[in-house]
Amino acid sequence: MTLLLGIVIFGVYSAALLAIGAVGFTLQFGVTNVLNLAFGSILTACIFAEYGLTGHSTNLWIAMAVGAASGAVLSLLIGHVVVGAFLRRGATGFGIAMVTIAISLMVQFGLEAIQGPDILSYSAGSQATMNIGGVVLSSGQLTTIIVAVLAMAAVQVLLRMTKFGLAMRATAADVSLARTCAVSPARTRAVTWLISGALCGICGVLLGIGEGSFSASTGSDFFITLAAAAVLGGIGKPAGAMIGALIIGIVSQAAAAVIAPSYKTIAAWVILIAVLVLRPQGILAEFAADRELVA
Amino acid sequence: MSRGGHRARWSAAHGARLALAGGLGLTLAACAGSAATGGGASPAGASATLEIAAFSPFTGPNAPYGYFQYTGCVAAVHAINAAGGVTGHHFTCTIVDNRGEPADAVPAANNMVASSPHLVGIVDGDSGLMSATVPLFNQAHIPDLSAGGDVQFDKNIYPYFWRTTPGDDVAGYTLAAYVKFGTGFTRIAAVFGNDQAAQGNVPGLVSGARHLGLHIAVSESIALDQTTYATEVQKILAAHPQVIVTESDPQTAGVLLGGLKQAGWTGPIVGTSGTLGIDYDKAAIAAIGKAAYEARFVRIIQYAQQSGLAWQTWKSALFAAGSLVKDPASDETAIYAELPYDHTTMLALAMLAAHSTNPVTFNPYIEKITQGRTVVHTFAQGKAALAAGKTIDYVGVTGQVSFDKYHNSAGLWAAENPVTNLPEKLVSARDVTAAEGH
Repeated sequence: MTLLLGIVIFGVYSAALLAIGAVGFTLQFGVTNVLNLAFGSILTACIFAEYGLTGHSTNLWIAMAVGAASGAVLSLLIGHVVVGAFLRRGATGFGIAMVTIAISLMVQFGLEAIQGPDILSYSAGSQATMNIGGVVLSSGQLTTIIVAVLAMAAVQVLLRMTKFGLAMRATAADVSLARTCAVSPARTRAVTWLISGALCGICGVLLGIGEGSFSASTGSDFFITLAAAAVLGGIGKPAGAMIGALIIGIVSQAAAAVIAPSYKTIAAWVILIAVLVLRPQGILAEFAADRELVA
Repeated sequence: MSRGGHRARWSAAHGARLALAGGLGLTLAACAGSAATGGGASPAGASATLEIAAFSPFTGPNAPYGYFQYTGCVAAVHAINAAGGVTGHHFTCTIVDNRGEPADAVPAANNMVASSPHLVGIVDGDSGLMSATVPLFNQAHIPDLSAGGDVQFDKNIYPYFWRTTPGDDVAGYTLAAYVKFGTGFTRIAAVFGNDQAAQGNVPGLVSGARHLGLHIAVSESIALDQTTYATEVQKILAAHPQVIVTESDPQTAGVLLGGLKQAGWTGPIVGTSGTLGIDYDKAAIAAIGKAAYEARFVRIIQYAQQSGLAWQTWKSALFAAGSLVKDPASDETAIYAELPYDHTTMLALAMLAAHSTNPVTFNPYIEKITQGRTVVHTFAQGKAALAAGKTIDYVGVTGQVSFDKYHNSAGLWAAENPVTNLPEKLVSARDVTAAEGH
């Protein structure tokens, strides 16, 4: 029973981490139609920024503020300035994806060149813990879950109940039509890059502090699973990314407990493929489901 | 050795310098010509500087490991050159960056062999690369003195391969021996990363536990670099182990140890040589704190003396090597820098004994210089003894070498404290033999 509870609780924790990043990733893709493969490296850069700017602070609220700010700025720079320049020159979707890969590698190896190959670590702090039916959850993990829930709710409110959310959905659905309705696609995309980057930064610092140590490749490794959650849920669909993250989180924990730990990643990918065979568009697909890469 | 690591505090600038040096080394090697070494011809002219390649990762996540190989090599070369070299030749250490990945290591090895006309020996130590690179070195007739623990080489078939560290499966037996004779506990949780190097310990540990009457309460092969191991930790603790035996990469270890702490584990943790290195230490300390790491964690590694003529000579050479060695004070007790030091010294002594710098000629003498009648502890001693017509038995800083028919030689082991770096308990050959069921 404790094991089952552990699967659920730590599955939710894993999902929470994934969901924060996956929602940012899929939101940005849905609105800008740019497959940003530099997302993982931005995530890493945010951990480095937080680590450096706060003096290795493990205060999650300060860390999230710094992470969100640095992620937003980086994302805007990369997405709106660099990628935007290529878009204005008529680059193809594949070309843009390659540009983001190049940016990703530049960021990753740039960090490695500056920092060296060693990992960086936070100082061990004694976190408060709570016991739920024999399962011990740390305050940091609980905070991550709460932050994820709040972030998901905020994104849903933004998309469904605000004028800007309507502009985002309109831009995602039909840029030309959005323009005729007095929506500025450029401004909408810029703000979307900011929001996406902020979520990326929050995800990064929660990941870095949660793991206790990190390196220049931490975000890139995590990005693969994060992108899988987005694809599973339906690319471009924030609610889908949440569901995708939850499935991957719980399936991987269950596989670790029931089969063997080394099968946890495999199990998550098997589920991903199985779902996509049945629903190629992902579990949920809405406003950006039928889009090609870069109009 | 299962995995790279080092105790030295090396800075980003030093890492960049090493990476740059690696690039320069490769560039220089590429410009040096294309004549293959070996094949029966003398590799060098009358006064050419002979190359020993430190074939290791100098970039990428295992880059700190390359530092060990290079440090040992340059210290030995300094001592050899100071003693006049070999038949008029001096030596140099070349950095060859294999990035710790077979996909990078194979072209790096091919390039090194094809473009280094004065290459006379290789020192390496990465378990995961040996099956890909050792055949290449053997084909090129370049002696390779290794600290790699790949179990496939327990019954090595390559005549140019020599190993003075046991295979990773032997390391597994030493873990069981330590638990039995060092802790007195009987219930073990075996928690190893699912990579090849870490898993190499498991068969020996399981078999050793059986021979010694220990019980493997739970054996978990964990996927690397996950965000949480909480479920795995629950399974581990549910089996009620008394001691946890483990190896994984640093970041995995950080998350795992943090999970164990969170779940309330306060028992001892025994690591392998794969837990050696500043990155592992940092991750572990970040996860459980320095005091707990010092009090509850030991790692079982090959033991090298820290006194006597061999060690004093090694230490002097280390400090005399100047800026090529970043932190000699830390490296002087680093077994995985001492191994390539002895390996490089053995290569030079074999050349002296064979009266040749041709690898084909001196390769068999790598074993012969460990079987003679006169015990020597330094290159200078060995050179003098050989010049006097004696046969030598080189007992270097890592101790007695005794190659079996597979060119393998095991050493002493100790449980080392990860914070003080001092041995807490020796694991004798008799204990290991008992674990092996002999």
